Amino acid sequence: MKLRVYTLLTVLLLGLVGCSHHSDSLAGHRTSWRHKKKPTAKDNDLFARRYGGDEEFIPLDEGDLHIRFVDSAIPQPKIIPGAPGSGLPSLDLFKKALADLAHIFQNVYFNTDEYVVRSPEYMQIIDRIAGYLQKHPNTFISVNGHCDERGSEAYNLALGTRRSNYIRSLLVERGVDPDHIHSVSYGKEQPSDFGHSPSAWAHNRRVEFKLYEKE
Amino acid sequence: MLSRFAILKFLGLLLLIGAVGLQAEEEIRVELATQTQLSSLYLSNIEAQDPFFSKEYLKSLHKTIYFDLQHSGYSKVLEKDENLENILLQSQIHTSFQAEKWRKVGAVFVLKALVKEQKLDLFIFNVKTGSLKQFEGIPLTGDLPSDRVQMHKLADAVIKTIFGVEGIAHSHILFSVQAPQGDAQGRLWRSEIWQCDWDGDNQKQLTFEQSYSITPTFLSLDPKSESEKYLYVSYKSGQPKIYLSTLKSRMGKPILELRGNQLLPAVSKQGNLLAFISDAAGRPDLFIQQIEGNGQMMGKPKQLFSFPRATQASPTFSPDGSKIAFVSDKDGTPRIYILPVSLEQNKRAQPLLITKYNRENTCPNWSPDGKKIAYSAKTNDVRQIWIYDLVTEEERQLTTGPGNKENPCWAANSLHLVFNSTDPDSSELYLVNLNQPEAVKITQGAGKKHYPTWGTR
Repeated sequence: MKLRVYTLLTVLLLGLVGCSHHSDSLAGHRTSWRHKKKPTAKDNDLFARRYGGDEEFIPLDEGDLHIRFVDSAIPQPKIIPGAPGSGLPSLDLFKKALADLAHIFQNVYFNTDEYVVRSPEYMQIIDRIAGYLQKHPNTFISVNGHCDERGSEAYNLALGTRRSNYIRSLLVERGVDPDHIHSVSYGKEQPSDFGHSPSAWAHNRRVEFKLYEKE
Repeated sequence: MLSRFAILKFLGLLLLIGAVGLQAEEEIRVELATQTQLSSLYLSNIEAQDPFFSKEYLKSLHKTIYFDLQHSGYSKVLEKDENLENILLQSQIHTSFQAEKWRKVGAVFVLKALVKEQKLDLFIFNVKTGSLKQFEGIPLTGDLPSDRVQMHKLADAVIKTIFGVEGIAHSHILFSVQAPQGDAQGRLWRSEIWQCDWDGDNQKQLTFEQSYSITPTFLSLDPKSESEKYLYVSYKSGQPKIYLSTLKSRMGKPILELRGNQLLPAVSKQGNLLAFISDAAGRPDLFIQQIEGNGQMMGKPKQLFSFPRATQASPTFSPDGSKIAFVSDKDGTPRIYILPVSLEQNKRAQPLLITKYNRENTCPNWSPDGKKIAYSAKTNDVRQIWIYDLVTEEERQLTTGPGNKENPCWAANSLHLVFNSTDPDSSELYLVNLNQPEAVKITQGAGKKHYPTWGTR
């Protein structure tokens, strides 16, 4: 009982602290403590993927993560779109979904300061996209992460990868081949709404999808 | 049931934590170190002894050297006075210099400029000692951009002569210009890399890629280096990647065969190390890459720092290349940390937190003298430029006023900074120096100018 009361008060305290931030530059930090989990066999497999192959970079030894906590970091596809022999065009040739697919590849929007998806509506979008990609193994997508104008512009360039990589990880968790999903960060460089109101900011905190159908 | 004492204890803890939180939110005002005495100079008009150059042309050259001396951080230029101009015009200054007149107006040095036969002569009188220094026969071409360069070189020579320090007026700045929004066909999404002199003049577009190019940085900041190569990030392949170009090329080439997004490149002063942010492993991590003398990448990039659910951003090297300052939100909000650079060790190092006053600290830039780190911090809801003093371990606010000020970059003298200030309608470049805290706007007009970086020449 005592423990439950302490826990409740602690949650309230953290909630209050979290509410004091009003910048998109802090996306996701409030959520980090809520998702601590022990590494699963799937996580270990992902780490094996990361370290086991002939990487084009020297990875950090992340053995210490097993005594802390892990996240859903999934290495980017090794194939660089547009590179000779990649079999894929550069990502700027990926296109927005045409009318018949637009209802599937809808934008996902985020709350201020967050990079995780909370609304069931957006989770359904992720489910629909995952379902489509599993049924269409020749389809490749780019997941494009955007921020609103209130954060620092340089920091948001890096932060944009958080939203796109998070959505990417949700799709991979649903069985989509990770090599079929590339992520792009636009930071706050490409707003869809040029206004300066809460409504404009909400429209700009988004992930968009573009597609390429390989023949 | 929980005891009353336990509840009180917890509420006490709650209040304590709340108080700490409030302290962090409090307004922080830091007095600037503006005690430095600036030497007063009187700078004459540039008088022509023949009609080769128009008065307007010579006024343009005067404006250039005036800016250089007015914002040098060591001198201020006295207001123009017609009587004093007449004295300078009518007298043979080097034979009949009237020190008392100049002393009365507070001039410490008097500069008289003359042009004849397409050459400029500058005389510098030391009012106190009566000594004279001359710069003679500086060639002028009539081509304003190249003559402006001559004026900047002359200003640097004056600063060196009078104050014994290297001037920076002959340096230039690279920056990104985002195309103006809202054309008839819809929103343009274009950004190219541009170059300008330190006063914002001589603007020149460097990249012509019809893409989105940002965050330029010189490959080498060694003033002895002949290299004029620079790195930048372009979205021309659809994904941000780091490209290498030169001041004379119109297009860059990719430098890394690395998956994912590549962002925010920074190069060590020696030009042998590149730091950048990449999500190759699935998170925005700090990477490092060795560079050969010819600018080629050597070996594989190394993941230097990563942390679960954290964003790393904006690396900047210490002058000796042994440390990197960077942004991370690993402890909750974006703050600046320092990490040793290790090419051998691949264990996760423990970075040192340096910025503690403000909650949001971004875009650090390490001064070339190694003593300071400039950064942007959200201060009363506006991003201001702050400076972390590595010697005293103190943070102080440099700028005030409206406009979000970001991306500070030090000049080679560790005295001047260039940064961009953004409001809803514009983003322009500003200069500030530690002795004259009033920032000076150096760009204007259409397009968003941001991500400035300072070169050596």
